[in-house]
Amino acid sequence: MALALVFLLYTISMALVMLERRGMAAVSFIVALVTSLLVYAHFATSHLDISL
Amino acid sequence: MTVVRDQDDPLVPPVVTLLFWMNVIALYLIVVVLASAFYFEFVRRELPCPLCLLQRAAFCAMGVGIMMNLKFGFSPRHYGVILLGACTGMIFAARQVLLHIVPGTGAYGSPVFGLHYYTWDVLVFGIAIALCAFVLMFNRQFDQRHLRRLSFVPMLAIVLMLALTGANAVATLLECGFQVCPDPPRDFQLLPPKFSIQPGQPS
Repeated sequence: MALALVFLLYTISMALVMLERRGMAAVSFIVALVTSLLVYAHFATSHLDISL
Repeated sequence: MTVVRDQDDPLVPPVVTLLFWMNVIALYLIVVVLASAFYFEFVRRELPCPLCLLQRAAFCAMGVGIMMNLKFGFSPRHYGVILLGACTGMIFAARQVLLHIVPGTGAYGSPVFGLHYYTWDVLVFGIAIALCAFVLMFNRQFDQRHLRRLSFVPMLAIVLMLALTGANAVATLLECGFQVCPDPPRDFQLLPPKFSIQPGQPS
């Protein structure tokens, strides 16, 4: 679901660019980028055994 | 920074016109990449894995920066947006390459022109980073903010990009449902079994 949210946020960001709302588009872009990095971090660490 | 509308100024520097059309071509290339990903998903019946979806999202991030360049004129900030998208995409794609780099560990999905989708992505994101760095050296594009009235060709690229990103949001929701995306994916979570398709199997 988080991945779908990432795409939705990028869609919103693009729509805001078309509506000439650059500031809000930038905010939406940053939230989408951070969310995608968090999703990546989840999948990158989910297979690790860190119970040292 | 002064703002100049190109239709009022016949003396637009050639470099600005060249870079404008380079941005349009780049946006069309991203549209082709996203459309081909849908082709593999729905025609070749290979469900994208979470890392594949993240790479698609990185292409969308680059698209946001390019659309800002086309809509608001050139700015280092907009190139920064493109670079952020390309760098994150490079991280995602490189990780997937490394997951399959050891002989015998298989691959995900079928190859395209001899290379897998994620290997192509490493090359494309690398080229995008290099191109952005190169283009940022042309200072004249930032002297004035050149605003263009978008003609049909760039507007079509923007509309297609917007539609494909929205379609990815819907397709991802159908694949993952309201939970963490399964890795590897087995089926569309929100579609009945008759729409079932096979995920990309290790080859």
